[in-house]
Amino acid sequence: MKCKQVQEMLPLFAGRDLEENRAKLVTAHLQSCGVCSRAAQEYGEAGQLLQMFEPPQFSEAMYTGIRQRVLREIDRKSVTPTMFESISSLFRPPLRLAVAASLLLAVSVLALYFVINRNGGRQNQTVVVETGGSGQRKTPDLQASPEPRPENLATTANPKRSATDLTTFSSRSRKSRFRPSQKRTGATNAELVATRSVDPPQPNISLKSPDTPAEALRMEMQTQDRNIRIIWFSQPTKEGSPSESSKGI
Amino acid sequence: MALALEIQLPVNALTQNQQSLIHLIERAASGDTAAFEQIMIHSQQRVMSMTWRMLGNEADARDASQEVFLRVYKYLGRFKQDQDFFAWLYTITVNVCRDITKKRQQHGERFTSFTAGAGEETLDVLDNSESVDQTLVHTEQRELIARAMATLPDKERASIVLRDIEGLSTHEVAIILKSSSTTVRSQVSSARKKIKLYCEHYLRRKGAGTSHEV
Repeated sequence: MKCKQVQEMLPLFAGRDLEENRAKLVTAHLQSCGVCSRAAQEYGEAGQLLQMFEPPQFSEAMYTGIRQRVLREIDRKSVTPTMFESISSLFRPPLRLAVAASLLLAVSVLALYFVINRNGGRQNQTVVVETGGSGQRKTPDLQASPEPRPENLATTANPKRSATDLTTFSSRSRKSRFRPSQKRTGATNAELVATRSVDPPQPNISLKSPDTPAEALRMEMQTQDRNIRIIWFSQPTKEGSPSESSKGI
Repeated sequence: MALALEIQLPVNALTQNQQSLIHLIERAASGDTAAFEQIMIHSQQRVMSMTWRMLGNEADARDASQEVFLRVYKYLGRFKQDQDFFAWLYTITVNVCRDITKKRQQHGERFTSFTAGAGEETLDVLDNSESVDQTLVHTEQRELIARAMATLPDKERASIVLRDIEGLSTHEVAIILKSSSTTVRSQVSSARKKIKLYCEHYLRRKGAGTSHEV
């Protein structure tokens, strides 16, 4: 065995912590090596010094003082539990589980309530965004009415086209939905109807024709592109004057 | 007022002593403070020695011992009868000392030397069987080893105190320190090496100083 290996094992050898077979090898080496033997002796001396590492003699009064302080603290805690202890005493294992379960249930119910309400609100929202000639966006209108899904694109150039090809929206509340737009000039004005509805609405084919010549006719057609809707309406006309129609895309 | 008395008992008495200790523990766990005081009397010297060796001064050792007994009372309900009570006590003591050391470090305090106050106390009391020279040598050696211990990290100090001074086995020390036997052996080996090198260095310097004086 080499001196370097023996020197590494000497600390454990000195404290009799080395395995038996290794201890025998170290012992054999020490018998023939003066340097390692001297090192082993020094470890032994340091170990003996360590046994002298005793604390000073503490007085009985000191021990009595410690005991009294401890007992006083125990009495104090037993009479007045800390706030933490009183709160934590509520959370005994069975009660703790019950409280946790009820909290979880309450949170789940609240979350479900908000999710349902949010979805229900979406269905009823129709945002009408008008952009004028200057490109300024006007404030959107909200109307509580279901929106039919666009089935096909219908042209508005020929109002004689069959109504079955059209997906229209009835103008129930003209005041809330219909904005009397100004005279439009060509494609510069665009009227967009954006919807937030997720559910596929049923196609609502209806063409409301004015009962009297005084009522305006309005037709809205949703294209396949959800963001594009074509609105066609005519303003009420006086007798003899040609009807004004406008088309917005 | 209770008296503290520690007597070396034969093995048979130790077994009986253990049984009486278990009985005391049961009573203390149910809230009997008189029984708990008996437990404290039985173990106060051991706890105080351990805390002094870990922390280095009487004031900290006293505070630590107090905290140890408070924790023992608090967690007495968790103590199992098949456990070794003193091993459990040592575990609590080591943890308390570690917490105090951490708090010290957070406040920027360095490890207090063991020599603070120790030398004065020993010089006050001279053993009649020893000569003055022998006492001085004794004191010097104790201070030397105290300084060497102060240089050790907490874990190594705890390992070597439990293994070499308290006389526990490597396996018992591993249980107390919640470590493995291999780790404990490594820590003990490292601690012994450092102590030996420190003493060697000190004696070499002292020898060089003496030769200069001559």
